[in-house]
Amino acid sequence: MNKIDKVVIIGIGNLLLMDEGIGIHAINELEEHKLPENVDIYDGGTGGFKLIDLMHGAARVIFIDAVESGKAPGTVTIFSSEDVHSIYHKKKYSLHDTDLMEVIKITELLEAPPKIEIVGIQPKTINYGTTLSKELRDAMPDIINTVLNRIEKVYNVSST
Amino acid sequence: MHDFHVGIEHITRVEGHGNIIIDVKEGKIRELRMDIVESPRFFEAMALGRSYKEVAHITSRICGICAVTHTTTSIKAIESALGFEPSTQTIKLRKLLLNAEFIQSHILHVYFLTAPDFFRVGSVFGMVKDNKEVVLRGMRLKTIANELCALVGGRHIHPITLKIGCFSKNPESKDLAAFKKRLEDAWPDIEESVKFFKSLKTPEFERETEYISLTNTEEYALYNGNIKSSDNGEVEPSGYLDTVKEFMVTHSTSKHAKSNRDSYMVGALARFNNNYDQLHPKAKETAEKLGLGHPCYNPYMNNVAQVVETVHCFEDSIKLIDELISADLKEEKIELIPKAGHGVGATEAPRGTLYHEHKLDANGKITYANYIIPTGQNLANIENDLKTLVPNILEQPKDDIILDIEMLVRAYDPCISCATHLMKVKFINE
Repeated sequence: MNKIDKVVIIGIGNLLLMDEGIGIHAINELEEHKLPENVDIYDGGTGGFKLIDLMHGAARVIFIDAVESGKAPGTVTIFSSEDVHSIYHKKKYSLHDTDLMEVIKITELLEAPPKIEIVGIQPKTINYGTTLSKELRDAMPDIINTVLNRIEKVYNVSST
Repeated sequence: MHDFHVGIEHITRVEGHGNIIIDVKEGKIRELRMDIVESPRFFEAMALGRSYKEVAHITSRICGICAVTHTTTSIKAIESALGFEPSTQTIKLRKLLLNAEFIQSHILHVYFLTAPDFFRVGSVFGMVKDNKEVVLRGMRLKTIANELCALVGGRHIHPITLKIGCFSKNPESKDLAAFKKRLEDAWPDIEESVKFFKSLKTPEFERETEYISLTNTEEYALYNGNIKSSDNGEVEPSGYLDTVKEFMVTHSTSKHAKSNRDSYMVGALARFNNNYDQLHPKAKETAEKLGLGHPCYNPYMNNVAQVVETVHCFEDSIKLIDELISADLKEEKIELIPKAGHGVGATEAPRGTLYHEHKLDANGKITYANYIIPTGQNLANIENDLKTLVPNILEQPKDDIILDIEMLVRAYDPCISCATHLMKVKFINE
């Protein structure tokens, strides 16, 4: 991966539904870190197809989202875009799968489709509220480290 | 087909869930209902006890597609409660942002969510093989709208510069000027869009109903105006409960609404019917090209009215940018003093009129909140349309009946994100 290639990190979810908003909470946390110049981060909220416009010109995209993986709350899992396509046809996976999976699929129409990964976090509580469950609050360092490691080691760019 | 049983089920996201149940026996409807298991009441409860400064941040998160409208309506209700009138500049910037939301939402709906029905391909992905350029054109137009949202609202999704009183950061005049050129340069894509939608054959069906929207003698009312019923005339936004009469039904957790009759329609077609005279001339030309006569009683034509409004919003955005630049944008800083008050905000969302009502105590804490969303207002009217439509199409093949039903529901652009593209159909007796 070339150092000048653009990496985009997008947190998605609904901040009003507790753990469902973990992607946005993670983006807020990442804003406290100094990231490499070629890394952009976005609060994607529940933007659906609007997310496409955040990915123009990106070589790599990482989504952070609540994902039902059947594991313990707070467990962090990484999927590649190939995994995403296979899951798309099999079962509902991300809690935003309607939007996210279709958005990922439609990026194939972009001039240079980015490589896409999802950092998925198993939620504990999806209910009306603006706070995270204790399990997900505790998982935040793991989520942030996962994303930063991904940027540094795999994408070969370093943050400070 | 004298007996017909169908349950159309939406694959749900957590934000919403809807079903259509239709049961016809010997040519007569025994049961017909549309359920939406989604309630904004919980969001209202979340607003209670919060500061007037916080509430727009909460409401902007209710919906990622209509975030500008929810935020704007919330702010208008708070400003009304505090007796504040924003500057002309702030109102123009809000209108520009609202236009961006209308364009992106309408383009998403007509290109990505309803066009696939005309090709019987199930989803926009089915259109890519034979109509890739059409999909790319839709993407280009959406991108322009989203970038206008980012320029004025500070970001593409859930805008952050929209504040009570004024914008926290103004766009630069040079950036607005550059964007005006982008809007003008997009005209060939608009013209091709009109040609494309003209080529699609909208189902023939008519049922006249009551049409409700904002109205304003000065302009095509999206940002503000009185509430107009095609039956009963106008009332001020503060009297919205005289027009919007919500009621509970046993089959849905979402309230339905009626006004003068047992149902009414909100959205692009209602606005077109109520406010045709105020449309931009190019939008009127577009309506004529697309065969949208005034007034129109075919709910399927709501999609066509959305194309017409898209043209209007493009032209209105160019006009607003010219006005903003020539008036020289000024930085504003406004801090409102909290006090007890009561205010209503009414704004047109792409899908219809949105109402927010707030009461504040002396410290500016929210003590009462009421939000009425467009889709809830349309539910009873969708059911009444279906009750008229279904007995007349029972001789069609089953797949055609289902497609006509789905297209009718989709024409209303219901704001349950999944409703529009992941409907699954299963037959009750199979």
